[in-house]
Amino acid sequence: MQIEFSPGSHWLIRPSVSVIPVGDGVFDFFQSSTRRSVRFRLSSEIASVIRGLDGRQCLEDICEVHNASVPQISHLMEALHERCAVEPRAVRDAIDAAEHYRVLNFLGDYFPAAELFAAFERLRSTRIAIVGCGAVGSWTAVQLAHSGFENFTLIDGDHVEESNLNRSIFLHEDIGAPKVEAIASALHRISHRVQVRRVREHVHDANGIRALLSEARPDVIVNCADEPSVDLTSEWINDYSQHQGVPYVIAGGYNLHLSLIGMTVSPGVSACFNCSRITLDELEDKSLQGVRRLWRPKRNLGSLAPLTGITSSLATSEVLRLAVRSERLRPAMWNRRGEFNFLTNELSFVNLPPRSECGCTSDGKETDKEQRSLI
Amino acid sequence: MDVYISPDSVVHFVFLSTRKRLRLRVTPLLIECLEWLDGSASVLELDERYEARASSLDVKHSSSFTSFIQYLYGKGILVRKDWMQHSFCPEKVRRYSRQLNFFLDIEESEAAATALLKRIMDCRVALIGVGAVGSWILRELVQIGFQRFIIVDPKELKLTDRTRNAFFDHRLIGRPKAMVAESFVHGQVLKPETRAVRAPLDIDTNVEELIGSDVDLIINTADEPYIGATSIKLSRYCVTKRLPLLVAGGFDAHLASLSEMIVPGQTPCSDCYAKHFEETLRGWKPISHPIVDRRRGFGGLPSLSAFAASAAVLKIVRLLSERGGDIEQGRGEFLFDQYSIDSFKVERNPECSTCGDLGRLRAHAD
Ligand SMILES: [Zn+2]
Ligand SMILES: [Zn+2]
Repeated sequence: MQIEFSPGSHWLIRPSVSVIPVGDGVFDFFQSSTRRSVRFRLSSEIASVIRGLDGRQCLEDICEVHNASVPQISHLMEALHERCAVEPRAVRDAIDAAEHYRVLNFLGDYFPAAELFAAFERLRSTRIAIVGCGAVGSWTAVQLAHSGFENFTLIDGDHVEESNLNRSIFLHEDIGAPKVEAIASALHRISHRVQVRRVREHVHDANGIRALLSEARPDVIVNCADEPSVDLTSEWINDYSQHQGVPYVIAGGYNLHLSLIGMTVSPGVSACFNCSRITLDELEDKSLQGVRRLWRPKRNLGSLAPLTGITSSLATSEVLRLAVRSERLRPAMWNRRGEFNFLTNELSFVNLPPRSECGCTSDGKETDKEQRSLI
Repeated sequence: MDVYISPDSVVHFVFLSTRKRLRLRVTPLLIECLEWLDGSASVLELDERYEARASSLDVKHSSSFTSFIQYLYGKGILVRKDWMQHSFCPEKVRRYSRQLNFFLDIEESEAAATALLKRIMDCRVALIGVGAVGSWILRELVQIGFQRFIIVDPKELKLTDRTRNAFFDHRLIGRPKAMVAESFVHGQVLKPETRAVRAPLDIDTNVEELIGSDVDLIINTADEPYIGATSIKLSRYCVTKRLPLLVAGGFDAHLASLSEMIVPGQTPCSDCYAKHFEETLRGWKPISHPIVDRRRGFGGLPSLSAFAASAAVLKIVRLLSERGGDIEQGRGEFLFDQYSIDSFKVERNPECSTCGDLGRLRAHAD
């Protein structure tokens, strides 16, 4: 979108931004959605202009009222626009008229008005593949559709059973239906624009998953498959990801009272799954070394809906960060994984940096250099 | 539980949820028998197998296998294979078995885990507001077994609910949200008991007339007129009735708040919170915003609503559980930017005009 800072242009303080005088002519521009802020020192004439910046008057007119210099204001608008504190009137009108205005307002904390709609368009058209459509997979799919994503490939060979209902989005009437069909119906209830490729297949090995993904050609993969184990399916998806340059999110799952938050992998940019293995092996609990684990084939692990909700919430946010493909909003789960504790409400993370032994990133060091492309 | 065996015949039982550990030094024969405890044989059969094994190995043993099992059962390390069937019908067992296993991890006994699910099924919840957070809370409550609801919301489902409402279905646009939510509950739970109320909670609403007197928990997610105002009203009602109140969602600048559980006499009430923030935010005065009507100007993400709803439901489970940890006093906030949790403690105000008396009564009783 073409943005002008000319004397005739109309600007306003973004409605979700609060402006707080903190003394000494310094003003805090506080973004309420993301709770970040940026400070500017303003002269009293400029501060008066800011107080009246409602988008109805053009910059020239409002400067005249407050005796402020037009070039100075134009310059300030450029700086405030870059820091997502102001927006042009035309962009505000377009957001107000949009169905996804809440998502746009949120992204507006990261993307200046000039880039906002393009970022949302990238999100909308991103092709998502969800591998494994159980509890976390079903929740993630639905949250993505509510967020505006429209292009899905769902991979799962199971049918909905009564025992799934206590933690997934499946409904009583879905019992007996293939999980991918049940999720497809849920997505279509949210929007008829959503396109869903349903792949009713189990994943058994790296070759199988590669074949399915090569056909789907996703832009982002979400791994929610815990059969045979999250570690194995992540290894397989990692393999495809590193070869094809496609990023993925490990959705995690739950372990007793913990919601696990998996890592996000952008090939060549962040640590891959094999890097994380190297680090995790080093961190292994030493107090139980040399002991044997009792073999127990039929374990019934517990689960609870809200822990699924938290795991899928973070997976959804990570997909969104990958989908906007920008330095302005990067994945928060690169090079780490986390846990949310049911008993204490605490989030904790383990750092999993790129490892040179793995060889997946060029130098194996924390990649802070400019990313070629995030996706 | 994880079970580890070290070379010196010490068995480590690790309670994964609490990280509590129990170490036992036992005979090699008992270690061998631990692997038999997979639910496929009865205690009597195992005892016989144990005796047979002992005599074939020609080892002396003082205590019986049965008493070993009894010891482990008493410590919450073993459960009966069919413990769920003792209390729940087959349909409930099918639906809630994974969850009962979870409760077992938290409560550490069959009886307490069973009681927790029963309390959930019996609990009468009044949900005020079926919006971004309220709708997700209701969906999760239904998933985990709640079935008695009074659902209050004055509005109809509209197109823009696509990005926020868990019950959004474009075919239902225009229908009252309270009714949409009620019919969802009816379609999903085994024994629904619901009432939908299509009315607002205003400053002059009579709460008891709105939700009735048969309520065990009130959840407030109503963002209009303003959640601060409706919460103070409900909190005062809850203090007089000694009812717990959960305040969740509804705040524009608090997209993924971990919600506040208000338990009269134990936690701060909404007046205590209001007083606290009035003091701590004294220096924080934004200029009056140039845009007067900012209703369409705030942001939100479905994933943050789901986070807030999940955190709220966890608090409800903890409230009803016996060992779910302390009832927290204070606020917490999940921040999207780096996925951090910003939390701070708020104490009860002993001078609070609403709940101060409860504290004095309690101190007297103590
Ligand atoms: Zn690697
Ligand atoms: Zn109080």
